[in-house]
Amino acid sequence: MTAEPGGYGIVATGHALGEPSNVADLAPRYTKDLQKIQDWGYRTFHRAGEGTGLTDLAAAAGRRALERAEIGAEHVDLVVLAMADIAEYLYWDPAAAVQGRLGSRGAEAVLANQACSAGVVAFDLIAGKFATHPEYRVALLVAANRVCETYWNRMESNTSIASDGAAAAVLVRGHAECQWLATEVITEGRYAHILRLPGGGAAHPFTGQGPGPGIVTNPFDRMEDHFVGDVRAMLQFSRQVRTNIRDVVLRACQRASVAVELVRYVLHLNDNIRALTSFAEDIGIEVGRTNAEISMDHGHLGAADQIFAMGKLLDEGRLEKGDVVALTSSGAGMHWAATLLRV
Amino acid sequence: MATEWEVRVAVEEILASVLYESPESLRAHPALACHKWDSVAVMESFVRLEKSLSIRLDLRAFRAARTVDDVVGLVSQIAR
Repeated sequence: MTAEPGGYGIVATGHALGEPSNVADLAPRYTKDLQKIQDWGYRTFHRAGEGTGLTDLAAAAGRRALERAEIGAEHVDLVVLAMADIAEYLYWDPAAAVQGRLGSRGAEAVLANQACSAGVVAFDLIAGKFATHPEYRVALLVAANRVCETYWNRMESNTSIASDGAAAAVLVRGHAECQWLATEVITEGRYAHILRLPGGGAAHPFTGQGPGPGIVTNPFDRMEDHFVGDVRAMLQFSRQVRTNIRDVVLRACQRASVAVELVRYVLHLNDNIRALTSFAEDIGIEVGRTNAEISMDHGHLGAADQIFAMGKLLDEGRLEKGDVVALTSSGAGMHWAATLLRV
Repeated sequence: MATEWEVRVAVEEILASVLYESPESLRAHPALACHKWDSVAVMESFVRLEKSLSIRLDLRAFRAARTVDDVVGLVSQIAR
């Protein structure tokens, strides 16, 4: 399948990260299980300063990408903000706020909120917008993450160390480099409740009286709660998590008519080294052709991992023309997603 | 009722199978973190041990195990 009629390519990327923080130094602040942190292999993660919100990071990354593309913000037709975390306010559209901050007046703003998969899924959304709006020429995809430590423990609430940062890509219709080829998504809504904050939403509003909204507990405990301690069901789910990511990559390759063996890099979410090693085995690729090293140096940037890693590979000249790169993710929802790009 | 020896043999065999290692390799490197001890391996071992020894294990205690001896100790408390 060709990229037409929604065909586009990445002209430039940019990013904005929180301050680099040494994992070994700060781990005791977040967890008692220091052995786990050592096993995860992370060296550095990023924390934004107080007062720096998700849209601050998003706008900075978007601005940087546009500068590098030498395209003025006023020429952007579509702004897509992908996020997994919580923005600064409720009843507020952070995508529109980013559009406003960038000065892309008149650009349509869309929020992609499929948790950690949002940055990968958004490529398909943009292809659709290009297909239904022939006048759109420039899209800005920004993926951002800003941990709210009241709700999320950076080293306990997931199997990765959560970082603050944003990555953006300027996507131009018909651009022949870093072309979007295909995106595939698998969604299993029956697992929607596995990742959720118990309080603070409309079901249990936070009133300031009684217990607070709570904190997202570790994934294993959440899985155990969801499956009411049925370890066989938990095991089946965990296996499905792994087979679905392989399946979604295969589906994307089929849709793009690309042999899976020809995929040069697979850029997954910035998970821990043990999980990424298993992931590489499942996909049938050497771990050196994943984002493993980038992950260890930066931590998990929510929905921004894949765009950030793609930008790093491009900046470091590690990709050659014609290389196929897969951006992949699994995220709360549950969603599994794969986007293929040809450099 | 299994003897301690039977428990150890069963634990080593099951862990070795789940981790794609030999029992000898597990004895040489008893720290589970040296092997592919991820969440799937934890649950797979848990399910297989419960079935093989006809016992009920505590998942949270099982997850806290760091070495083969930890697992043998946990299982022995219940199986013996």
